[in-house]
Parts: sequence; C-alpha cells; structure tokens
Amino acid sequence: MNFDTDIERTRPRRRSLLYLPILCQLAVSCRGQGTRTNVSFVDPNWRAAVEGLLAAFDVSLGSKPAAGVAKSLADNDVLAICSEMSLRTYRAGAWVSPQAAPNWNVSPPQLQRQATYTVVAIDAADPLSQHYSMRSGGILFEDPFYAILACYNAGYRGQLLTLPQVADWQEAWTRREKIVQSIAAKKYDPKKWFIECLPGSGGGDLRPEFLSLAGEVLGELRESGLGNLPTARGLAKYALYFRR
Amino acid sequence: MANKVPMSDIDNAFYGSYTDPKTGKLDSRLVDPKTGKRRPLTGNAADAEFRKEWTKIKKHLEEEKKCAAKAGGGKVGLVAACPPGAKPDSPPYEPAKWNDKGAVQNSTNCYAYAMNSRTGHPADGRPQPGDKSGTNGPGSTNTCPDVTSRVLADGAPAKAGDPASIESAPQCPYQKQNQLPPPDKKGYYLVALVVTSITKDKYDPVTKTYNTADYHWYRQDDNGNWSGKPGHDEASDKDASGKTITNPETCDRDEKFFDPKTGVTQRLNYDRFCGYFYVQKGGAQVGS
Repeated sequence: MNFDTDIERTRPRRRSLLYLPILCQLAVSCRGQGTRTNVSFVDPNWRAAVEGLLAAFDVSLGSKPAAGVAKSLADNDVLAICSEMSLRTYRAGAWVSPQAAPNWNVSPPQLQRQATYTVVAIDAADPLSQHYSMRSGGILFEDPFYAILACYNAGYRGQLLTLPQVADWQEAWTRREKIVQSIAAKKYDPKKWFIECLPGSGGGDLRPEFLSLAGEVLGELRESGLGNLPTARGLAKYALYFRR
Repeated sequence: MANKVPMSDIDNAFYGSYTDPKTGKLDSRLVDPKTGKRRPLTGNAADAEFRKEWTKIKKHLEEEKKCAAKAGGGKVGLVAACPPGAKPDSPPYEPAKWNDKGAVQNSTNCYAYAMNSRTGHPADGRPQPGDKSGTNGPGSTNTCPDVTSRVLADGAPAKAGDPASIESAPQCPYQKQNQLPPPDKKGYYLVALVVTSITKDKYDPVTKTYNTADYHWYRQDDNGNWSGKPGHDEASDKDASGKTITNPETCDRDEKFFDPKTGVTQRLNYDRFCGYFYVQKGGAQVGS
C-alpha cells in the first residue's frame, strides 16, 4: 500500500502572536478567527459525547452554568478545549450549557476504506517507544471525547495518562458513559482507563492538532493499536490505544 | 609469526567460499579441466579477483587468530573476543556515558549510538537514517535497501574529494557464507543494520504480544564485541539471550520486553540482517 497520501498534518498551535494571522488561516485552534472546513470525525455525533463529557467536568469542577452559552461546538473547538485542559486553563461552563444527556448506546462507528477521517493527535510517546528505534509520532484519537479526556488527565491530574487502555477498539466506544458517570460522581480514576505515556518532543506540551487519515489506515490502526505512518520526516509510529 | 595461519587453512576457506553449499560443487572457474579438482591460483589477470579474495581471507583469519590467542585461544574461523584496543579504530564500550537516564539516553537511539553521535540531539531525539541528508521523507520504509540508501546519503562526503563518513562494507563470499563481518578498514569501524521482516505492527491477543515493526543497529567496539542501544533504553553489549554479542549476524536478535504492570510483551524480532557499514573513526554526526 502506498501511504504517501494517507496522512496529512495540520499544525494548529500558535507559537507566537506574531504569526497568529498566518496560522489562523491554516485553521484550527484559533477560536472565532479561523476554521478548518474539512474536518470529518469518524463519529458524526461526536458533539453529544463531548458535551456530555464537558457537562460532567463542569459538575465535577463545581461550576455554575454560564449564562448565554448555548452555541454548538465547532470542529475546531476540540483542539482549543484540549489545549485548555492540558494547560489547566479550561473555564468550566464556558463551552457548553447543560444539554439533554447524550444517547451513549450507539454502535461503534464503522469506517469507509476510501474515506478520509480527521483524528486528533497529541505529542506524547506510547509506552512501547522506550525500546524501538523509530520516531514516535504521538497518540491519535479517532473520538474527540478521548482526546479531551487525555488532555484533562495530563493537565488536571498531572500524569501523562493519555493512551486509552482497552480490550479492543470497540470497547473504547462502549464505555464512555461509565467514564462520564465516574467524573460526575467525582470518582474518576484515569489509571483505570488509560495507560501512562512518555513525554514527546514537546517535553510534556501535548500540542494537540488534527491529522487526516485514510479509512484503510485507520482501520489497520484499530486492529493493531500501533502503526507506522508516513510523515514529511519519514515513518513515525503512532498509537491509537493500548491493549489490556 | 605467532599469528600465521597455515596455508592449507586459508586455501580451504577460500575454495570453500566458492563451493555451493547445497551441491558441494566448486565454482567451475576454479576447477582444473584436466583433473576435475581444484586448481591453484595463478598470477594471470584472470585470477586477480580470486587473489584479492584469498588475501582478504588470509588477513581475516590472521586477525581472528590474533584475537583468539590473546583471549586464551580459540578455533580459527570463529569470531573470538579481542582484548580492549584490539580494534583501535572502533569506539570504546562505555555504556556509562550513554546510560545517564537523562539527556543523553533519552535523546539518542540505536542509530545515534552506532554512529557514536552522543550529543547535539533534541530532547526525546531519535535521529533517523536520512535526517541529516534530508532523504528521510514520506516515501521512506524500514526495508534494508531503503534504510541503506538513506544511511549512505547521511555519510556522503560534504564535498568532492573528502572521504565518506559512512560507507558500505560488503562481505566477501567467504564471509557471507560463514556469516562473518567484512575485514577491518583503516580509519573506520564496523556497524551493522538489521530490520524486522514485518513492516506493520501486529498484536497477538493470545500471547498478549505486540509484534513491533522496526530497524536496529549494532556497532563494533574496540574490544571486538558488538553493542547497541535500543530506542531510549540503555546501551548494552548483550543480545536477546543475555550473551555478549560477538557477531551481530548470528546473535539472538529476537528481543522481548515484558511489562509486569500490563502483562503485555513487546517483541522486536530483528530477523533480517541487512549488512555492514564502515563508519569513520570517531563516529559520524547524524540527525537533523
């Protein structure tokens, strides 16, 4: 298989205000200033899950619902929320107002081999990277729910518990309700759901960003949990989850 | 001379390397048409390549005998341990300089270690073949030919007339047949490249094993043994069985790392031996 066109990286983070206008054209985490229009998450109903997660966080953090916040989350908000979580600057209640509880009983979304999907990437190295020679690309999330949760773990729990630990890829989708319930009940233990990673090249700055993957490639990652993907700097190893 | 190897041993090794191991037939160019037996080499131009090969084998066997004698004796034909300084152009085996559990260990990998490129890498660095030359890109793979071409590009002379810092080190037929490293080259030391034959990571739920696709490097140290540094792990001269690496082609390269916390094993089976390279004495700076 030729992977040459299978992965496309969009670097969202602003490193300097000087470059803000240019980077915002590239898209992503500049709220209200620039948007990426070709975002296509695996789960078209991802907003309900993320809103449910944020509502649980807000309850957990004891925030009062912010007045007038009723807008629907934009695709690009995922990266901004991730950044806020990882930097502990998340403002509870600022993103969503309480919504009806999402329907968690949904089937894990299937992939179209020829389709292109957006995943969230963070800069952390999987636990197996200690031993291999290749470059570690980072951790990928096909579900924004887990990306935000991983960023929360890193920021508010102070541990790089950023790689979902599951029996298989389907399990990640089916246990979201339990996670949300544990957060709302203030009984959430990230070690129960994630495995600890190693700092990436950012030294702990997760630098969330969007990547585009072909359905075929994402499907292989679902099966193995770990895989080599082509990047502009050669092959790099990315992790989607860790088996338990 | 103490290191002198009997002529008959050299002849046997030479003709043996031109004998098909399956059929036992000697290369027809070395057969006397009258007797049907092996013929002696001549001074003719047609035998020039054969004479070169014979000389290489002689040198190789003498080197081995020298090391074996100092190490307490050993059978000629085996790779024997050499005392420190026996390979004067190789870097010394100094794991403490690499295994600092900090800046050096976590910014280097097997490639940096093999090239003796210890510093100058970013935190979490993993210098990759081709980074230095800009040949590592979206089309890169972990196959022997692809990694080889990127490594040679990294070691290409900076300008015409300069020596290459990394060169291919082909095994001659005798060495190939006997899985022995190529002869030493003055001013250079040897490194070896291996890869996993799997190119995609696979998880085996039955054995709870991650079979990881990767590549790896070994380098020859000044004591004649070989060592490596897997990823951000510690540098070591032991193979997967815990034995001192005396030959990277024949050592146990089926590495397994069991994590008792998760019960998961990571397997890195570098079962494909790609070949040897010469690296200039002192090493070659790699990475971007």
